[in-house]
Amino acid sequence: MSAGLASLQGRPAAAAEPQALLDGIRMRARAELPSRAHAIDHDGVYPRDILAGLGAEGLFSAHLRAHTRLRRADLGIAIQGMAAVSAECMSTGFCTWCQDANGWYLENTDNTALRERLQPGIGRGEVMAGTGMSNPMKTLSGLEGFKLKAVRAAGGYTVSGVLPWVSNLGDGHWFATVIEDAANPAHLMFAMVQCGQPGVEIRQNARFVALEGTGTYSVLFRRAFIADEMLLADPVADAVKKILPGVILLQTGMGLGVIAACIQLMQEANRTHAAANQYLPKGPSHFADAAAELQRDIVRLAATPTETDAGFRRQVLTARLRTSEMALEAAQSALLHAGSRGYLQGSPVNRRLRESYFVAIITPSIRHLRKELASLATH
Amino acid sequence: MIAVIVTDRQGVAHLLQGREGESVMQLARAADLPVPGECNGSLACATCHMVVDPAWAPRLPAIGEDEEAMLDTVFALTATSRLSCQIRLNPALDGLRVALPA
Repeated sequence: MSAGLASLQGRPAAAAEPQALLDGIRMRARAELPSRAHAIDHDGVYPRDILAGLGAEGLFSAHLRAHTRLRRADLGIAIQGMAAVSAECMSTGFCTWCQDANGWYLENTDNTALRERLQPGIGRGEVMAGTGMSNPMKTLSGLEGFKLKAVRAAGGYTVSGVLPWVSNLGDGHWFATVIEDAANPAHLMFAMVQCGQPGVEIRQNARFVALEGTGTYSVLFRRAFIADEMLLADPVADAVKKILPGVILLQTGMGLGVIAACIQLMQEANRTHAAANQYLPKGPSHFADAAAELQRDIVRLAATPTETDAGFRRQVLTARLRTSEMALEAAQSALLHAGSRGYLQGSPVNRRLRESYFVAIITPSIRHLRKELASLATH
Repeated sequence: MIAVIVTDRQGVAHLLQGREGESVMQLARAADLPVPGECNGSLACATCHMVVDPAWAPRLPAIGEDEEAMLDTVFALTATSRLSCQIRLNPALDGLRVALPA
């Protein structure tokens, strides 16, 4: 490929090394996020410009074959990039996950026209995208019912219902979700939807204890028309089973980032309080070793993200569970190390605690993961 | 206490008792009826949808704009559909009859 053609297609002529890509992401995150993390987390400022800059660094395309700057698409690097962002601000890390997950859905669709239309902009961070898969994931685990129902219409489906929380949204943003055929509940379709298209409205009616700036909205479908060309899969069949390990592994980037930040907070606290902190049951070196081992396992699993056998699925769910539990434990330990100064409003520990809770409750939550693992154990 | 009669999807009527100010959603959840109420009454979902007995519908407070928007997403909408999180008990509603949607 000539340099000119590469440039036209938005790809560099020479492939980047993984470490160089991660360094660029880390440098930009460190330069731009610390001063704005509170406004994003607490005041609800959506970091659109920062996300665009991170997209320009290659953050959202590391795992996409046609758009990565690396020699080959690498989900493990995408996870580590998300961790670098989350170490500064997990709200921005969460938006990164939304964007990455949507790119992953397009990566694995047989609808090549849809992929070619949307994935380039999403990979570069010029088009923003979210993922409305919480309800489908819970429904497929028997925890709730599908919230979107469709009836067949000429050239597509008419869809009604409401998805309570979908993130990284705004006017014109895209997201993907699963819709149930009202006439045949066994028939499911996986679709891309654009906020603001006729019949699709986003509303922000609730406030959260953290991550206020993540563009999280209820999405109202009022007889919205979803054209056949917007379907990622119809019927869903094995499409969701194929994408889920990658989506779940990507989430670990948020947790790894929070754990890294908590280790740093423990180290900072030890500069003044090591004499007392040494009696705490676990310190920064314990978490650093545990996180390194966890990351190694995650990167190994991320090398074969479309495997669907039960053994692989169990390992993915276990890695995700370990990430949640370690993030909670590390955030609590950061508070114990910091003492009262960590208990002040606006303290970094305060935010890390709330972020760690999010890692634990976002679908699949700890209870959901434990249910799935228990189910796998009996099969 | 204020009485509310909730008919479930099997046609069984449940007599529930609540205090003034409680919502019908809260009452139904406390009685283990299948009313998720996932947004806990913040008007961000429609999972507490119920169908009000036509005789009682005119006696409820008017539907607000946010509730109307959410109801408009309901697949099995009826003329007397309401979000039960928005029905707050008061003495005038003693004996209210509602049903879970089909």
